[in-house]
Amino acid sequence: MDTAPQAPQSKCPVSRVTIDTLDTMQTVLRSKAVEENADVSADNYICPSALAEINVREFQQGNLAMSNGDVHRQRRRLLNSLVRPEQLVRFREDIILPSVDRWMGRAVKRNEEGAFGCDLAGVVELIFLEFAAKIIGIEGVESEEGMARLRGCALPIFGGLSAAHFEDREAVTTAGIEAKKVFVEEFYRPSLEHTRRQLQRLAAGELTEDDVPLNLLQMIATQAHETYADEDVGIKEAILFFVATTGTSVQAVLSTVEYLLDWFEKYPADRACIEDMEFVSNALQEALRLRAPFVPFLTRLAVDDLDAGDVQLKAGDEVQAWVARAGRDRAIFGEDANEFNPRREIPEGISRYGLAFATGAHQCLGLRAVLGNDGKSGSHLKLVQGLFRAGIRRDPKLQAQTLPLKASDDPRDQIPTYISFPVILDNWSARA
Amino acid sequence: MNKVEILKVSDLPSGEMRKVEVGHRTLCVAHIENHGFRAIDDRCTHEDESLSEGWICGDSVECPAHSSRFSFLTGEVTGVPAWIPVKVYDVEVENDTIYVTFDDVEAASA
Repeated sequence: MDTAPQAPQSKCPVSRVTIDTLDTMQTVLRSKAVEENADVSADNYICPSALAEINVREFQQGNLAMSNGDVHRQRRRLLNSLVRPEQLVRFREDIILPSVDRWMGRAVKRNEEGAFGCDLAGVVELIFLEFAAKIIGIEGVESEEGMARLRGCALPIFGGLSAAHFEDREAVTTAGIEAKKVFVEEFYRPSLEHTRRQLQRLAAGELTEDDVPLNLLQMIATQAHETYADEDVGIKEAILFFVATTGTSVQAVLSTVEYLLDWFEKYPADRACIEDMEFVSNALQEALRLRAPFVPFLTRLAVDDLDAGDVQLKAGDEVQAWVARAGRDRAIFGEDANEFNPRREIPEGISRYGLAFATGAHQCLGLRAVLGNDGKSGSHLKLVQGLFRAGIRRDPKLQAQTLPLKASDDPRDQIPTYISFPVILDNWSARA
Repeated sequence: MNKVEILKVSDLPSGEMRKVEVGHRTLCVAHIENHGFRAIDDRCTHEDESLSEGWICGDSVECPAHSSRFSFLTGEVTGVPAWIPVKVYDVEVENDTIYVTFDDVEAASA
């Protein structure tokens, strides 16, 4: 535990408490003594600032992640229907895999040596942007023009939502607000109107339920939860889905590819294991354990005192949960906890992905979309498998690029956020 | 062994489930199409949630909080994120009454 000194303007006598061991984090995140809080998440609690206030107002306050108690439970139950097994199969078979064919087909080009290659970060981003658009209900993204416009919003909105983690907060926030305007005017509002018309036609018997697949905008259009009557809440919910579906998925897939490329170089006999979905799932979960949620820490606010063993929280304390550090907890995962090992023995009662999806009431809704209902049939896993079947390797002439996060001296915090990942696909064919 | 009356058949139409307290135990009792009456522990093994507040999906129950699924027939996990099975209890129906059988230790604490 590390209790930082209070800032001069702090809300006396609260502290910022850092937790980074798995057992303690499980206890804290599962306790009703801690809640999500937009001010804490935006770093506007102990050290309030105008920029942090904007971050709270524009991106955080009112979304599912920042709701608590009965409202959170009701909204979570509602949104769980988006990740039911039949929906997961629909996402995989009708959305993601066709999207992989379409976007890879457009992006993969021959280089000067005649090898097929692409920027995998860009392509995977397009695939998950389309997935995000479909799960939200955003229209007009299957064309390259529409997708280019939506893509222009993605990184700035991610920055706007996560601005507290970036060095140049003012620039990140400004870009995020501009991107949010584009997202709302060009995508959110027109798509919501389209959804309303579809629902009217469904009610009139002009369309069937198969014509109008379930998505977030349907819930918002019908005000399936009373909070969706407020347009601002609906917009922030869509932004949360947009960022959560796209950003973490892209980084999870790229990290898994990166780790597996190194693993297969070290253990060539394991290349054949790419056909074993349990192996692929283990690989993705290892990458998540080591790097997710691709921001340094999650936050909570203690609303009651809590004895969590080696950490004592007092009501009002701000909690920083350094999830990837907990994923590298040697006491749980062994002396090689910092290493990627898809053959790692996992102690009973521990998830291979550590706390990558968090735990407790706010466990990530996307867990089932990533891993699949059975833990080894998720869309992300199929995508990774398809890339290795296509003979993926790093492009020896081009370096991957990453986004600069705030500096940290702790090697466990060196988590790359890729903005480019150039690869060669030696066995490329559109159906690989 | 101890057989305990828990519900009347007429209390639980097909496709429905209900939370039933027996001593300090809380059961999730369901009427599953083609499989009759079934009983499992009501507490989700993933988080502290009541399964009977979730949904019946085929012969499984889906937790309302994080969508873990458990088979009413075997107790096994049929959907992540849970990984630990729930306990299954023997159920008998006599006339219009549903009984659950506990082993001696459970009966003593019930």
